[in-house]
Amino acid sequence: MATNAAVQGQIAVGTRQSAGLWSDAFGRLIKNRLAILGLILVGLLLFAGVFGPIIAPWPYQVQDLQAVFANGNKPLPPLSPNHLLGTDNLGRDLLSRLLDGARISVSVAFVVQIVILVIGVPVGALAGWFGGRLDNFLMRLTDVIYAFPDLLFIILLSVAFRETFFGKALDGLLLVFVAIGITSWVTVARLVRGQMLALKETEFVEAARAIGVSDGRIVTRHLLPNGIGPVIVAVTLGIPGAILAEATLAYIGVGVQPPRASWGSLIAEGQKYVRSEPHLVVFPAICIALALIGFTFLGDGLRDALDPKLKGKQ
Amino acid sequence: MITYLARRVLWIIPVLFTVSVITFVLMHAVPGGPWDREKVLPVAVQARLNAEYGLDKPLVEQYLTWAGGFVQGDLGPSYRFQDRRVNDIVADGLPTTVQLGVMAFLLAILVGIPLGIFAALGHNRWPDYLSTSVSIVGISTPSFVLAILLVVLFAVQLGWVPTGGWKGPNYWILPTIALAGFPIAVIARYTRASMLEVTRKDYIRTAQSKGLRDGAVVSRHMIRNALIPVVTILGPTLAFLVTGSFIIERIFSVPGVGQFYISAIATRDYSLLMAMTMLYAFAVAFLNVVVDVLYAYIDPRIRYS
Amino acid sequence: MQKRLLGILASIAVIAAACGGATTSSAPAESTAPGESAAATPAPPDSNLAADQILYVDISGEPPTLDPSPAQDSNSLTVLRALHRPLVYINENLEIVPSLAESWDVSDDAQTLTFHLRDAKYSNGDQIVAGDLVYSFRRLADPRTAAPYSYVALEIEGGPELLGMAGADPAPSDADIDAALDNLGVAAPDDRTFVVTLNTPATYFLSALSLWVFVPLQESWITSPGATEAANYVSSGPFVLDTWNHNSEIILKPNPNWYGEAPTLAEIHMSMSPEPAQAQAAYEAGEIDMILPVPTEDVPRVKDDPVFGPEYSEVAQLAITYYNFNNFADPAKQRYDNPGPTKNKNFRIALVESIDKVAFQNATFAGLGIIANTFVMPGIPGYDETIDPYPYNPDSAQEHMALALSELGLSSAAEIPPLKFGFNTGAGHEPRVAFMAEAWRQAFGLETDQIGSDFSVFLTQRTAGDYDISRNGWGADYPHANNQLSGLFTCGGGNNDSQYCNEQFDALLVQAAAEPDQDVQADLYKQAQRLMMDDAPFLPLRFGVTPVLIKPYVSGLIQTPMDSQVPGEHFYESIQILEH
Repeated sequence: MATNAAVQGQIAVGTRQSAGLWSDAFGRLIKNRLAILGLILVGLLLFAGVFGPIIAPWPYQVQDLQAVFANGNKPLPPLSPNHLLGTDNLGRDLLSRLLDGARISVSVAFVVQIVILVIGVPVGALAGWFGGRLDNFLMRLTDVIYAFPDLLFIILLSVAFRETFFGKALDGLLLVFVAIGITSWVTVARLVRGQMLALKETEFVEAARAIGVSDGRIVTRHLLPNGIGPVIVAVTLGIPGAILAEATLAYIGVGVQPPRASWGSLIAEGQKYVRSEPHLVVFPAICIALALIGFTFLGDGLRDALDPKLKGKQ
Repeated sequence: MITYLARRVLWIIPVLFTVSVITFVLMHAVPGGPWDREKVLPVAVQARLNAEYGLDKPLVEQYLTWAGGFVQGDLGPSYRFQDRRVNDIVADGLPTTVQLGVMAFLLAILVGIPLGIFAALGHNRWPDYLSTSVSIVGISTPSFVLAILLVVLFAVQLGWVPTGGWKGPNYWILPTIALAGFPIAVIARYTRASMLEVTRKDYIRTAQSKGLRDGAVVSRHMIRNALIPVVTILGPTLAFLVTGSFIIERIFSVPGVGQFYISAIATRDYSLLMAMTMLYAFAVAFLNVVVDVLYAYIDPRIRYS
Repeated sequence: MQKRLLGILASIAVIAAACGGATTSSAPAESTAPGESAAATPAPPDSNLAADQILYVDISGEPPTLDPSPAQDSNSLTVLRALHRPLVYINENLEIVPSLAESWDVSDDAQTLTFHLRDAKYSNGDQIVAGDLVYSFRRLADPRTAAPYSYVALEIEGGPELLGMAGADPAPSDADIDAALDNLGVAAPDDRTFVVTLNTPATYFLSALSLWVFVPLQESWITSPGATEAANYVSSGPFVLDTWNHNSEIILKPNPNWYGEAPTLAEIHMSMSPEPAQAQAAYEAGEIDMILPVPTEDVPRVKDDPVFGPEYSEVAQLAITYYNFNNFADPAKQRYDNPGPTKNKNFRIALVESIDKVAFQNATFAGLGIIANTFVMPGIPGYDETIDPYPYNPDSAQEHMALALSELGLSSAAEIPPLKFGFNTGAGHEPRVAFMAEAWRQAFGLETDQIGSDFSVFLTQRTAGDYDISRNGWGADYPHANNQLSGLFTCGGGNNDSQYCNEQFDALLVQAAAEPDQDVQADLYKQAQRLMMDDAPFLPLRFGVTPVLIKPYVSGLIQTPMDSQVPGEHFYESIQILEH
């Protein structure tokens, strides 16, 4: 009896979703102050990514060596004349390099997450829903991908494709993005599969099946929306995760080609100065943290807004 | 269940085989070799070394030689550490790496999961903001920066612990914290999201409407259900911690094998690299089996056949 | 700045001047100024020695091997120098001094060297006999050992034949190799006499004999399984290998059978920190007593620090930082038929003249170094500071570029497709490469494609001749000009990544190598360098000066310009720990 009511409610919700899902969701989203903050930060990031090089006070590669020599061969500290956030040891303006790096970091964020979602969600959904041999095969494939020697792969790709458009795209970073994406969709796939496994046994799915709803419709209308929470978290965490993966690769020595810099490579370079010139690592880290805050709050807000059951609560 | 387990464990073999072939081909396709030095070795010496290590043979033959040794438990001679066999290098370092990984894993769970639950229970109130802030700092600080900051603060300034090495419990503290930093934040975020998801589930509402006290609801239903997606990431996290601790082992001079996963690539130590990849592949595949079994244990709705 | 450089230069002059009569004609005249980099501190009275004579140092990573013959990496050498001693040794003044050999005679044709050994024992108590040297020299030259430094045996009679066998196809039989080994020009007429016969009067060979590969080895020991493990190790130097916790720590203890004066140190603990920042932290936390080098990024902070400032010093090194231009003169290399603009001499001159080396050093090496305009390092006979054909001169650079462009049939440097500028990542080269590239971009509008690669990929492509410009560095194996020039700039040389080829230069080097008179020899090397630098085949930047930190209680240190991991690593036995 109670079960029936729940199923009825679920199906009713499902129907209403299709009518005004996005307008409802948007309405809920803009009522959430944190989500708005997230939206603003992400907007700023996108703005910096697109217009950063234009609003930057200096071109990213210009060196103000005389200022460095006047400062005793040391990088200029923040709030120096002409250099709001200071410079590195070549006198390159940190603010300008951060603004230029925003473009690279925004690309990392989106390219990698798109690769991950495009591969990870379908694979996970298929494996979880159909189970059996397909599940087994896809999951063993993810084992292989997990253990995949991605660093070797990146090094090889960057040598093999250096002279081509592919290798030069985004100052050599496209390869890194694709490699990070290829090796990190597995987490999302396993996550989606886990959700599928758990949800497909629930009463509302059994009920939907009983009344003859097709598999595809159940997956796309009921399972994915219900299991989307952890996926949104995975993606919002994945964005700074990808930025950090790029930083770690930069620390090892793989990634963006100088004189361009990404936030990750700025941190990796600044790490050496962490004791003497902390601004070189602090500001890039703040940028990454702000991006993370933006995506996290926006992600949380989106999840709440898209959640059909949350209507009327809060 | 037993057949399921047996099948899953047997599946590890083709996984290892595939990974070994991919890695073997990739590492020989990458330019450079183990004899590369800033001062170029005489060509004749390089040729002699190649002959000695069998690098002059066709790739298929080299692979078969390696695979033959591998199944007999012989990982070959190290190209970099010429006095040593890879078996000895792994035997020396693996316990340390496993110990560090497990300690960091436990720390990540013991801090991360409560932090996530704490945040979810105080959703959109100060516990949530606190937990979120901790997570954001944890996630946005690369481990190589966190590690150096820990060294400077606790080893140089305060002098509480050594800067590096692995000679006793006081040497374990900083590397464990540095390694656990990122997983703590990730696990906290996943737990929080999963908890929030579960609070909206019908059975929780039902339980609440039946008048169950909050505490009982939380412990009996929510946490157990919320942990399902969290468990998914624990397997890969543990695998990452056990073998992927390259940077932490390097920065803290920890004599484990994790650092070889990257340095063997840099030095083109083919046999050591193959050993590390196999170790990693096995750890991942095996831990995924464990995770799936845990799944079934935590979530009775999932049935394996 | 300039003043400090002069100080360092002067201190090197002191070293050079002390090198003893014949070899120092090249030393700058003003050798009286006190240097900053003290080469040796006098041993203090015994009274204030610390009770615990334990020295803590760091060697930056696990030594790839402790077998002397195949060893080549600096963290192997820094340990081997404590464990073994060759026949002759190089002292802090870069002079050749007796070590295992008490004395030696050189034949009139300078082709036969006869060494008289000390009455000396290994750490296991066995006598060191001349036969062990015969074995050790043969082992080095043996193609089956495949020793990276086997090329130093090329000067020994029969050496070239053996080295030729290494790469021979089909591989020679063991019997052939053994026969060739018997023909190697080494002999032990009795247990205390060792004779080496050379192909040519190679006057630098005595200097090369100071290398770690020419130490006595007991055949029964080195061929036994696990020979290099601490439990089995047999040493002939001042210390023994007490403990080798792989990848973690090495502990050395004095060798009771050593023939020299017994070391004061009771133990040397060598940690292995691959991350320089951690080693630096370990020094500041008092866990290690010395660090070489201090990370460049930390130098300004350390110098200003009230505690560490006084412990800071700078030591000249026999090393050079330079950037290759691809001269495209080697037909065996890639792109020989498709050369870039760096094949043009005026183009190369323009690139050299547009670089302000002092600014480069200040911005990217914390000001450390001695500006280099040639290749042979200060302190080595053949160094000539007067060679500087193309000093920093932006106007002249423009003129040379204009000449080059007209020769290349171009109207502006911007028309040149981006030059391939290669370097290895993760080793701090990025800002240096960026400095160069930006200087050339500003001066000429010349674009570069800065290609950062994994070390091995970079070396492979640099050797293959793929880059137009690439970073490079060289550290002396032994202090002789031959080790700096031949093979590096001779036609088709193994390390000739600039692909420079000038037969006149090659002929001068051959002439110099065979010249018995050291003054004449040094002059020939100077003449050769003058000839080479006139062609601007590469861009010399700086001779190494290394920042070091040494705790004040470490005494008796004898630092040499060849120390690469630990200050005083050539003479651990002289180190003492004072009360503190």
